[in-house]
Amino acid sequence: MVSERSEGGEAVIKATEMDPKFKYEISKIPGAEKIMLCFQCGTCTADCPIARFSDAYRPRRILRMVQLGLKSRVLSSDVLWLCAACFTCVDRCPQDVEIAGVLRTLRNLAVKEGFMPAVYRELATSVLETGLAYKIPASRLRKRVEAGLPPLPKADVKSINKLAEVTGFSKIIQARRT
Amino acid sequence: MGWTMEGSLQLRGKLEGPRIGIFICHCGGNISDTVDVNRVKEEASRLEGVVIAETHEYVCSDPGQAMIVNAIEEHGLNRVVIASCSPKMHLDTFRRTLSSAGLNPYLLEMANVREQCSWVHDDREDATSKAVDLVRSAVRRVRHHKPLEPKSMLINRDVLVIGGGIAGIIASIELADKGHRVYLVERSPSIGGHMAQLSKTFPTLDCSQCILTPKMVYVAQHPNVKLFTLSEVKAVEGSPGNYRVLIVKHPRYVEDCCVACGECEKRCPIKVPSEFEVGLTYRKAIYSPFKQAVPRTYVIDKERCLYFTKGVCRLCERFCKANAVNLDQKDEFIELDVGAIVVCTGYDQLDPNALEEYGYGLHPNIVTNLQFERIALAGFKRPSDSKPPKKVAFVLCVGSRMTNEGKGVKHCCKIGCMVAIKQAMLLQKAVPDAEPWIFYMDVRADGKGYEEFYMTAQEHNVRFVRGRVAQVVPIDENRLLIQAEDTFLGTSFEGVFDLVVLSVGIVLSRGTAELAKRLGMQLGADGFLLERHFKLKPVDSQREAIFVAGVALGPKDIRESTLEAMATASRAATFLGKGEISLSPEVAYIILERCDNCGICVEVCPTNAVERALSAVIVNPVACVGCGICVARCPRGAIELNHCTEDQLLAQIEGICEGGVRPKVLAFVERNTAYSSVDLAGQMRASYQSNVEVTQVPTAGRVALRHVLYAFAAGADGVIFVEGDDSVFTEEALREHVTQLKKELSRYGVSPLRLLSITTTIPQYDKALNVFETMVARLGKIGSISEGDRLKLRKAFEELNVIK
Repeated sequence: MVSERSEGGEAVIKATEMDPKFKYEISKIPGAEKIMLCFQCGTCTADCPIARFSDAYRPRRILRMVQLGLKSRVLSSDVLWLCAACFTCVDRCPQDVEIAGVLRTLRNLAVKEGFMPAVYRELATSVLETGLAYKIPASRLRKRVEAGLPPLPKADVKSINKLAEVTGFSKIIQARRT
Repeated sequence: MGWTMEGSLQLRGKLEGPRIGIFICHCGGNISDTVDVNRVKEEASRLEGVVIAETHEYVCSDPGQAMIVNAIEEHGLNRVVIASCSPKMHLDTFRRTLSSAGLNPYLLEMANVREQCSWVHDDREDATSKAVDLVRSAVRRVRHHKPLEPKSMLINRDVLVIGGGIAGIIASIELADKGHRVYLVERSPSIGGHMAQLSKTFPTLDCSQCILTPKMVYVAQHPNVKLFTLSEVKAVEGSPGNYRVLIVKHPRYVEDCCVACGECEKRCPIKVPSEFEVGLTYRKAIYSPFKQAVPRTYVIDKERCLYFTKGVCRLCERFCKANAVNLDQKDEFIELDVGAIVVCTGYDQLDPNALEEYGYGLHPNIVTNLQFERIALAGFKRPSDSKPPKKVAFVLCVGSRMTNEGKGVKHCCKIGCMVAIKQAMLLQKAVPDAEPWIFYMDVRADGKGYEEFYMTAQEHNVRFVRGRVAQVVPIDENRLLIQAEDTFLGTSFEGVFDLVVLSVGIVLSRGTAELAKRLGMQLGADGFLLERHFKLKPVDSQREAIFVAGVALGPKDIRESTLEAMATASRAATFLGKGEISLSPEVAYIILERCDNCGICVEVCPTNAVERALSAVIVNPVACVGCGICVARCPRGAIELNHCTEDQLLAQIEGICEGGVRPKVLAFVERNTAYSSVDLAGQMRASYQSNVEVTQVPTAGRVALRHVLYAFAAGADGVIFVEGDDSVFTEEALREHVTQLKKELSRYGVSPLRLLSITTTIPQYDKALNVFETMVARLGKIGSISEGDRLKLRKAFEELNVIK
C-alpha cells in the first residue's frame, strides 16, 4: 500500500481536492496523451521491476490518481521519482498508454510546482559539475589503480552544461538550490 | 418512362405553382437546443412559394405527422419540406405521410438539420445560419420536384443462407418451416460451426452436441432445404427480391454412397493436425471432421493427400468397400436465384501469438479456451503429460479490450468471462481437488441467469483475481508461472499453474470481409458486419433483403445468435411475403429529340443499364442505379435523372450557396455510404466547421464542370466531393474526374486548391472531417472569391449551359 505520506495528503479524499480538468491538461502533453484510456487492469504494475520490490510504487495507482484529478497528491508524491524508465509497462499496456511517458510528464509538472526530492537535485547537480551522476570517492579511484584498472574516462562537462543551459535544465536545478 | 410525368392523379390539379409547406422539428431539443428553430421558421416563410412554415416538438410523432396532413389539406400544399433529422432516418416515414394526405411521396424534400447541423456545431448563431441555408436549398429544390411512381417486380421466394453454424442452421430451419426453399451454403465439410466443438454450454451446462446435433440432422433432412457443403459464394448480382448467386462447390472426392465405415481413414498414411480438435490431435488426409458430422460422407484434404501432392498411394480408393472414393471430382459451379440472403458466417479467434508475453506456442500447457473445450471433452488431461491439471489459470481478455494496433482488438469478446467460469466449474467437477483461478478485469455476467452462475462459481471456490495477467513464464516441462497485480489489494501476484487457458478475443471469420464486398454489405469500425440500424434494424444489412445473424454482426453467445437467426428468418419472410418489390423511380431517362446516339453514356454506365438502339440509346430502369454519371457526361443534355434533374441540382446548389457564413465550403456527398458516414459524424457528436455545408448527390459523377462553376458563381469558395468506397463511381473514376475538373477550373481562373475529394466508408467519418478541415484551412489562406470573379463565373456557366 502507498503510505499516506508518500501520496502527500490525508487518508480521506475530499471531493474538493479533485481537479476534474487535470487529466485533460495532462493528456495534452506529449507522452501522456492516452492517460484517459487506462482501465486499471494492473498489467503495468505486475510487470514493473520496481513495483516488485516496493509496495509503495504502483504505476496503476498513480494513473488512477491523475484520472481522479488528485493533482497536489500526485505531484507532491515521492513515488513519482521511483520509475526506472525500463518501458516494460509501455510495451505491455493493452490500452497503449505510455505509462513511463506519463510518469515523466508528472515529474516535469512536479518540478514546476516546486517538488523535487533532494536526492534528485543532488544527482543533477553532480552531473552538471562533474558530468557523472555519482561523485566517485577518492578511495574508490585508488582501489581501481591498485587493481590495475584503466582510469575512468573524463566526462565532457562543458558540453553537458551547454546542453543543460539550452534546454533550461540548469536553470531549473539552480533556481531551486537557492 | 411511363411513370414519370403522367403520374399526376395524386396531384389533384394542384400543380399550377408550387405551394410549399415547411415543417421544422425541435427533435425534443436535439435540434432546438442548438438551432433557433423560430428564426429558421421566420426566414423560411419568406422564401418564394412557401405558403406555411411551422415548428413542432417531434415532427415524426403522430401529432407531428397529423400537422403535416392537416396543413396539406388546409393550405392546398403541393410540396413539403421537412427540416429534421437525416433522410436516412425518416425519409420513408415522411413519404408515407405525404401519401396518406394524397400527395405523391416524391414531392417531399428533407433538410438535415440534426446530424449535419445541430449535432456537429456548438455555436447557436452559426448553426442557425447554416440551418437556414439547408432549408433554403431544400425549398429551391422542391419547387422542381415532380411526382414519380415506383415500378414493381415479382419477388423470388427462395432464400440463400450463408454459413452452417448454429445461426445459419436455425435461420434455415425457421425459413424452411415457413415454407421457403432454402439453400444452405457451408464452406467446411460439415455444418455445425464452433458450437459443435464445445463441451457444455453456460449457464445451464447443457451438453453442446446433444442440443446441436438434432438440429443439424433436421436441417439436412428438411425437404425444403438444399445443403451445399465445401461450397462458397463466388458472385452475386441482381437486386433485392431477385438476386442471382454463383456458388462454387469444391470436390469432396468421396461420393454420397460413403457409409462412413472408416476403413479408408485407417489405411491413409498421412497425418494432419485436426482443425476440429484445434490442433490438439491428428486426423488423416481422408477424414470425417467429427463423429456427428453432417453430412457423414468422408472428405479428402487435397492439400495433404499423397495422390494430389505426389500422384501416388490411392489406398483409400482401393480399400473402400462402397466404391465411394472418386478422385476425378472437379469444382462445380451452381447458379441460384433467390429473393433474400441471410449471412451467418460467424467468427475466428484472434491469433494469440501476437501477444508474446503470454507465450502461446512456447509450452504445451498454454492453450486457448477453445482448445480447453476439447481438453474437457477428452477427460481433462493437460497436453504435456496427460495428467489431470490441478491448478489452472484462466486468463481473460487475451487480445480483447486492447487499443494497441496489431496486438488485439478494442471490443469485448463477450463470452470469455462466462466460458471461463463454465470451464472452471467443469474442471472442479471432473478433477476433485482442482484449483481454478480466473484472472479478470471485469466479469461481465449480463445475461439471463449469468450473474447467478457467477455466484455459484464463487460459492464453489473458483478463485477470482482482479488483475490482467502481465506475463506467463514456463518454469519446467509441466508448469507455468503467472504474474499479475491483484488490483484490489494493490499487491503483485505470482503463482505456479499446471495449465494456462487463454480466453482469446474474437474477430470476423476469414473471408467474410471479401464476401461482404461481393454482397454490397458494409463493415463497422469493430471489423464486424454493420447492421442497418443499431436499435431498430439490428439484423438488416445496409443492403435491402440481405440479413445478418450471429457473431458475424459482433461477439455474442449461442442464445443471442439463435435469437438473431430467428429474427432474420422473420425479417426475410416479411420481405419475401410482400410478393413484389417496388423499384426506385430515381433512374435516368433519355430525351429522345436531343440524343444523337453518340454512345458516351453507354461507355460510362457502370451497371450496363444504357444500351444502344436504332436511333437513340435506351435506359433499362431495372439495371439503372441512378448514379447520374451518364447525365453529367452527355454532351447534348439528352439524359435526365429523375429526382436529380438539372433544374433540381442547380436549385439545390444555388439555395445552399446563397447566404450564410463566408468563406463557404460546399460538399457534394454521395447519397448512400458517404452520406451515412457524414451522418455518423453527427451521431458520434464529432464536430466540424459550420461553414462546411453538405448537399446530397447520387454520386460525385453526377456533378459536372457546369455545376461546380455554378456553385462558385453562387457563393461557394471551396468544393468537396465525398464518395462511398462501395459506390459505382469508383475511387479511380473520382480521381480522374477531379483531376479533369481541376484542369478546367484553372482555365476559368479558379484555383485548383478550391477542389478536394475523398473516398470513405461509413465508420471512417474522420476522413471526410479531415478534408473539411483541410479545405477550411486552405480558404483561410487563399480567401473568398471576389464578387467580380463570381459574375464572370456565372457568365461562363451560362455559356456552357447554352452550348449543350
